[in-house]
Amino acid sequence: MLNIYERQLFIEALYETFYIIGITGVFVLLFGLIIGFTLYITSNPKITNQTKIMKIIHRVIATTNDVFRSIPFIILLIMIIPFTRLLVGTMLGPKAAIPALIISATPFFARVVHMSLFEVSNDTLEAAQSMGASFKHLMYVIFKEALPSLVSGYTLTLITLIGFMSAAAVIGAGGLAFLAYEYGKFGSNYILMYLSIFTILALVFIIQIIGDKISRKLDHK
Amino acid sequence: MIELYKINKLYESKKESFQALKNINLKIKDQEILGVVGYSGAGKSTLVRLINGLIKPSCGQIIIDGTSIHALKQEDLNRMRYDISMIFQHFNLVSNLNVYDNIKLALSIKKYPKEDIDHRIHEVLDLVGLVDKKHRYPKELSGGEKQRVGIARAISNRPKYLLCDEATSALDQKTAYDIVQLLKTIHKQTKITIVFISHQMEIVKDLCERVVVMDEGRIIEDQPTKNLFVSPKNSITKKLIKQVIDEPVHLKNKNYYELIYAHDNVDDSLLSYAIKTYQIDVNIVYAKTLTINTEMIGYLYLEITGEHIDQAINYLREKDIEVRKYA
Repeated sequence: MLNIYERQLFIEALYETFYIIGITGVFVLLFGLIIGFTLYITSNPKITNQTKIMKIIHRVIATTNDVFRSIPFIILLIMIIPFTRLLVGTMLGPKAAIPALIISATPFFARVVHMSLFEVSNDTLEAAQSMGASFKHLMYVIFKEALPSLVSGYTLTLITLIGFMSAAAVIGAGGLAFLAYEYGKFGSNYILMYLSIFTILALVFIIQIIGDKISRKLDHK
Repeated sequence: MIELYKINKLYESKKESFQALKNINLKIKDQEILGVVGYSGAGKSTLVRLINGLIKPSCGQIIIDGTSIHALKQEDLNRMRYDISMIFQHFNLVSNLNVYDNIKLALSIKKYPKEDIDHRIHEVLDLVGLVDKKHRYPKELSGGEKQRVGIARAISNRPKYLLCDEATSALDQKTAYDIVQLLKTIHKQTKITIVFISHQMEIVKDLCERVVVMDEGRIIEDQPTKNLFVSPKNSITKKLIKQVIDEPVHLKNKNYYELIYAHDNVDDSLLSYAIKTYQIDVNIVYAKTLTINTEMIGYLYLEITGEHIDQAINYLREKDIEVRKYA
């Protein structure tokens, strides 16, 4: 089995994985919700007057969002190296992967949020409006109705993030995927490689199961 | 009082435009129960949404208790909506909130005093008979129960007006009838003004004191409910009424007459007098009654023969019986 050194490597990689997912996850959640809600609000005639300016605002945000979503992650990673260096001072290691992961996963999640919100029945909105709901209350109703779908969408995003992290391994981002890549590519340590891969798989399954459970618990449709 | 003056509503798109409402003038008195009837596409739903400002008219004036709602800022319009509640065909409850929280949401939107909210929720739940189901989610309720929650939510802050958009159309007959009874009870207790939109004449006749009939964006008839049934003027109205009174269609091309008793003259032996005086023969083909609200209308289908038929009919008409040749 693993010697002390290898065990150390594995634990460190596991820690890095959680670190990267944790930090990235929080930022993606925050930015994605903001952008997703903005996309929704600016395009729903029930909430905002669809004036020319409103339509332009929506188009600009949507297009920017889609541009970043369309760039393959590995390209984006290299593309923003100057920016990353400026921001975190290095282009190597776990920290260096975080900006690219955030920039790449946020547009994805923003679209998911937008779609979830759009699924909220306009009739429910109309009912809230007929009561005289303020913007705040309206957002509360939309959020409450979309929550199960938002949780599913966020689960999906987290899993996609884990996929992206494997690509980030090429810049030495660290984490389990990096370990698998480093020790697997020359056939030097298959045990470590398979252990890393199975841990990643387990992680994906755990996230999926927890996400599904929470979503189902919140859903009363 | 709700007043609508010269309302037009045009829906415009690039390809075509559609005029949903044409020159609508309507006054809805306080404490009245007004029915708005018509086939789908007649403009009923648009009309009711004008009243609470969910839809803006292309031109015309909407005045509620003396205030024109056009000039209102969104904030003031929202405040006005606290007093004009609405219930819907598909109930439109927030599906991820339970019964209690659905009503609580309405009350907090309408800035009901926080310390009284819990008490008020139980009060309205008691009124609609759903106290024991307050922790259920909408999907765990039947259609009738959902509409009860809708009603509880709508009346929770004691509004002055209640708009009902096809409120019973998605329910079976018995449940629809129960909902009508509930609305009647609420009206009796609170004197709330009700505007009841529906295509179901049989429901409207039980609930409403006055009926407006709409067709193709116009108001084509506006009468007290009983008068509407006794003397409908428009062919669309007649068609709608036929949903309720199934006329004996096989009576054709003979001396058949329809007599409608709608006034307090049922105690007099008018027909008997007419038979004796004008020497007519009468064959009763068919007879029935129709209950409208709390009143009753009698329908009598007769075959009349004899020389002085016209005089006999004139006599009956003088005595406030509606007589129509049936052909």
